[in-house]
Amino acid sequence: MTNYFLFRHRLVVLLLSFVIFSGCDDPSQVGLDLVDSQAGETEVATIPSSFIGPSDFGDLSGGTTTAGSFRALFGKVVDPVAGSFSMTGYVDFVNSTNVTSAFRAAPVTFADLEFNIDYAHGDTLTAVSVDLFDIGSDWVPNNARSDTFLVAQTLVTRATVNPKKGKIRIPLPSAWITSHDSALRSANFVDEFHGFALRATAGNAIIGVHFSGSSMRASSVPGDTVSFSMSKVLSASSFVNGSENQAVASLRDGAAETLALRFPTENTDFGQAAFHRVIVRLNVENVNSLYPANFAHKAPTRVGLRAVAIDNSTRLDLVVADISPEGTLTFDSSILANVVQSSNLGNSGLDRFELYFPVESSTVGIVAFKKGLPATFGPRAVITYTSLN
Amino acid sequence: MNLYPTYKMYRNRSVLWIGVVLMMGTGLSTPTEAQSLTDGSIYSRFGVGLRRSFNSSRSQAMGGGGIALPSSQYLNTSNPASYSDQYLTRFSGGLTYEKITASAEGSESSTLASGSLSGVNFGFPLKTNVTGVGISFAPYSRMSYHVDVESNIISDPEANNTESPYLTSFKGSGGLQSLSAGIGHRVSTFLYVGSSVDFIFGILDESQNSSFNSTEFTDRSVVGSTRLSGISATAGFRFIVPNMPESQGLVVAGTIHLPTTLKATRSKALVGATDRDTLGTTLSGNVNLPFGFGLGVAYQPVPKWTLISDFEFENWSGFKSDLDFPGYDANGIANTNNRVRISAGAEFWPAARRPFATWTQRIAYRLGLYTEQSYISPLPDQKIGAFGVTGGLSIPSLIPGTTIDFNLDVGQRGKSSNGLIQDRYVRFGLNLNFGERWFDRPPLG
Repeated sequence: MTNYFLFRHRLVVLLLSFVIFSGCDDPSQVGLDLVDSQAGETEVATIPSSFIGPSDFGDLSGGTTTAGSFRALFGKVVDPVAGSFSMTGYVDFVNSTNVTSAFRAAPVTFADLEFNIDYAHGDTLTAVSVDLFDIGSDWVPNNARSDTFLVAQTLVTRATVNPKKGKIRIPLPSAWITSHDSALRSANFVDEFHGFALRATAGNAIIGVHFSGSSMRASSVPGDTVSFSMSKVLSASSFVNGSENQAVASLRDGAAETLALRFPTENTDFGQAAFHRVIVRLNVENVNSLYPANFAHKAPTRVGLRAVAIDNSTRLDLVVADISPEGTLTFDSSILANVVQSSNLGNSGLDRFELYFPVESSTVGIVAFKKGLPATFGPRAVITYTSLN
Repeated sequence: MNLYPTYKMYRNRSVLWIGVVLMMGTGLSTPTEAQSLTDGSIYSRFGVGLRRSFNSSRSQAMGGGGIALPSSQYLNTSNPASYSDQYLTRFSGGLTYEKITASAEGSESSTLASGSLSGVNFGFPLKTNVTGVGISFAPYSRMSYHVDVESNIISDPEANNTESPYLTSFKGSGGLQSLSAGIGHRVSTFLYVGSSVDFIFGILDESQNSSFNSTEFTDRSVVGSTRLSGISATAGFRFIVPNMPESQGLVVAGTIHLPTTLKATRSKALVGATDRDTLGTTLSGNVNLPFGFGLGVAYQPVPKWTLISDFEFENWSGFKSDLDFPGYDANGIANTNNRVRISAGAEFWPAARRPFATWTQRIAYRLGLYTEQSYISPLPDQKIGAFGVTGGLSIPSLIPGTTIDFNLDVGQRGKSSNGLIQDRYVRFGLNLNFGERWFDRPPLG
């Protein structure tokens, strides 16, 4: 009896609490005329970029067999869009773990380089003359950019390379073999040898050498060849020399410069505002007609957008987007909206945006963007905002 | 049959369950309430919010007055002079659930619901029925409005012409709280006096939130927050009219609330999902709350019946503030009026002066009504009035001096013409009134 009473009493309390807290709520715009807005109406504005042009920041072009770029690029070219530029490729090798004692017992008598060429940009009918230099000191490819400069010590040899896919071999001279004999046979080969620099002297193409299938070979005993696998790559680019096509804003993969983009984040249209959506959009110009026949060129299809702070060193990768088949590149991300929001409120030191190619793109491919106002498909930001003024 | 352990178990568990309910209410009455528990009258956005008070559960059911009531059965915080009239240590508190149907000219209406802490009171006698202390925590004002506007926007005109729906919500939350500590003393057989110190503080938040039903958008709110705090004081008296006929009682009482200056700071912030950015500079200034007074009468024709009537006045026409408030421009028009509240109520308690009455006879029945003119109006030429009818039941428990009270308040505020809104509201109050003798030395050691 008492337990039943307790149960009933508790039930009543629970039912009452349910009644209290289970309110039906259906707010509407009744009372809107009596509300002063804390902010304005939500609107959409399309604003043009205030600047699009080069920015001194090299593309990521260093890599190892496990991360980063997978190709060393060398050559020189006169590109109808990007203008004249050259690439210096740096490669290094690692000795094999199963070197025979016979190889180490006798002086090396033969050595050459075997490169797997899997990429070419430029005139595929004209050979590229390349100088091969020793690199004097150790270098780190991780996060190395294309504006990196490595000291190339001495000329090793000269070679002529056809910009076509396939394997080539560049014999190393006997003088070089003699001077590097001990290093080649040393168990500490990695510490004693730091690779080659490939610098073009003539030609009109950029050539790419892939890790896979590329190596240095040496033998001390006839019939017993030791292979040194390619272990590091880096591609350094010359800066633009003003010969690029001024009608478009070009972004080149592997370049020493990138493409900067600025928008007025405190635009007179909205002043200070709450940003709900920010879309940055560019349109690609079709420049195929500018390229002559037999000029290999392939444009990357993925482009990234990053924010750069006023200190010119703090960078934040925001979003990567694909260029649509119609040639439209659209960056649409909440992170982008947050960055613009902070800039609008003066809480971040945002200076500009930069376009970049993701690191997995190891080419010198070029994307040409239209310049001008939004009406002519120039770079633009489509902003959904609520004004705070 | 051993009844004693069962009784103890019943008492402890019931109090525990009720305490849980109270804590739910306390937790949900903070500014971080669930959406459905913060929506109230649009009139609450004006001034420092809608004036609120919670004197006692008994008062709440009898029209909200009760200045002349004693604190013997309920701690009556409307008048510190009543604190002298205590013989039990008391703890009382309650929750209020309010449902409002707001309508404008035409056929539109919206339904808004909110839940909040009515108040918490604690009192104890220093000398039984001579000197007593009362401590209370109750709302002074409350801001809780919610207006939603549904719209569509084409956020990417180039990609397509698809409209994205979004909701702009205008919300207000928070309010001022009053934490009071007072003492009452019986000066003579007929005269009681008392005073209290009232710490008034709180935050008024107004926000405009744009929310989108799509992950492509980032929802953001602009929140304006005003923090206020200051100290006031209240003095009161109760006078028992002598020479009344046998079994009859008449009490006349009055209170004065001193004016006070609240220190106020106001800031604005943009609030996203994970971030909060302060906008502009923080404003600060003084907000002067006006003086007020109250007069009340309580009459008992027979012990079973108690009748009360109250008049309250607050001099809001003299309201001054360095900061603007909705309805008050510090450098221009002020839509303030003197606040007047008149209420009356009746209680029927069959068990009066019969400590051994049956359980059903110990149930108290209460009725009341009130009318009020608000201290502020949205429009300069309009005054906002409210009137309502209250009622309540006081259910006795097995613990002597402890009751569970259910109160109801049905009323109407404003009008649906001249650009105003008419609120029709129903308030349901659940209150616990716990009383027990503390600090008594048991007989025979």
